[in-house]
Amino acid sequence: MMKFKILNHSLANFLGLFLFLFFPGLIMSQTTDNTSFENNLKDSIQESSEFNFLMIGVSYTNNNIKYKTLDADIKMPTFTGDFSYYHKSGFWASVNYANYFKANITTYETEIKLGYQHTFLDFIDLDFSYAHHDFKGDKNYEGISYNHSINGSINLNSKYISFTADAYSMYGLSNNYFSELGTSFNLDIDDLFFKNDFFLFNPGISASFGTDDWIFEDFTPVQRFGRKRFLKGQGYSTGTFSYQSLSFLVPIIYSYNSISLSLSWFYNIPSNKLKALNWKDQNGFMISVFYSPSL
Amino acid sequence: MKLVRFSLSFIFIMLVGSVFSQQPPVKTTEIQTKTNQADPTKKNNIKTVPKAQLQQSQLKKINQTKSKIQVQKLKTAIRKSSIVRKKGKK
Repeated sequence: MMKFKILNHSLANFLGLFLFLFFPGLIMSQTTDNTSFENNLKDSIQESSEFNFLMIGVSYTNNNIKYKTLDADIKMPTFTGDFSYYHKSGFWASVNYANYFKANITTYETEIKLGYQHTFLDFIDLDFSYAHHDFKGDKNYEGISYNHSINGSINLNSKYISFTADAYSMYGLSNNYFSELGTSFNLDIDDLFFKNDFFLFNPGISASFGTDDWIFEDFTPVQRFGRKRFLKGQGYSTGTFSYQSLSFLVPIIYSYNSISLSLSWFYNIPSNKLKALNWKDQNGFMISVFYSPSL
Repeated sequence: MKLVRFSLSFIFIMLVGSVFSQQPPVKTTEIQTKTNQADPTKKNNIKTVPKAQLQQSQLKKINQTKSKIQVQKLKTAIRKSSIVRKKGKK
């Protein structure tokens, strides 16, 4: 009888404990289910956002350059075209064409790029690419003379602020290495005027650093020596990796379905060293139209 | 002894509870199908919100992705044009 009572007591204890522990477990399991549901929703969004798409873009920039020695700005208006394909695996390829139509002879450059981009943890974007570059025409319109370029960038994105670090190298007449550190403010609005439209206001500031071999790359030995001595006399070192410019970029993009229209304003302030070479500042606007259908 | 028994019971029940609380992952679409099957009369009730959320979020994600790339392209184009300053360089 005593044994039965102890057994009964133990059983009651066990059942009580079971109810106490198991039912909260079931309640928790409901919570887990909800969490699972949210996760599945998030996963579905993630999966569906991994899509293939084309991007075809045409841009025009007026690109004004000022020199201390000239009263008027030098204008180098440019038409550019870009055709890109982005695969959901992260790999992408693009062909870029720029035409300097104010040049006396036909002047253009092309760039073929292959790259890979990946987003980690929903807020870190990584992008690596290789580019083959070709320039034809008036050499006065050529920036850095390069055939190959390797680029890498990392973006840290929050809802309103993004931080960017770019590193790129260019190999050609001279080998040059650059990096760019920047931050931008992101404001995007859905359904601004119509259903399925998208508005992005993304002003940013960035500082550029790099080597300076490209400045002297097509100088004669005498010109190179003279210019380097001049800079040294002004207190600037050459052949070093140093600060080169501060840039402001204010892009406004409005998209409706697969069509986007963008207007960007930019301003570039060269470093004191580049100012010593009579470069003042550079500003302009760029207007672009993009067509980017998902495939 | 009681403490040991209590602990063992606790562990056992927690294990059973955790096994029951684990459910195989179900696709969102399946959840929606089940929801609609469970209550087919309520086509526009709260249960349909996730699908709308999904579409909206998909669209936003797509737009954000494309816009990010467009900004990157603009930056690259402007960077390229900023280094076209050889005129008067020498």
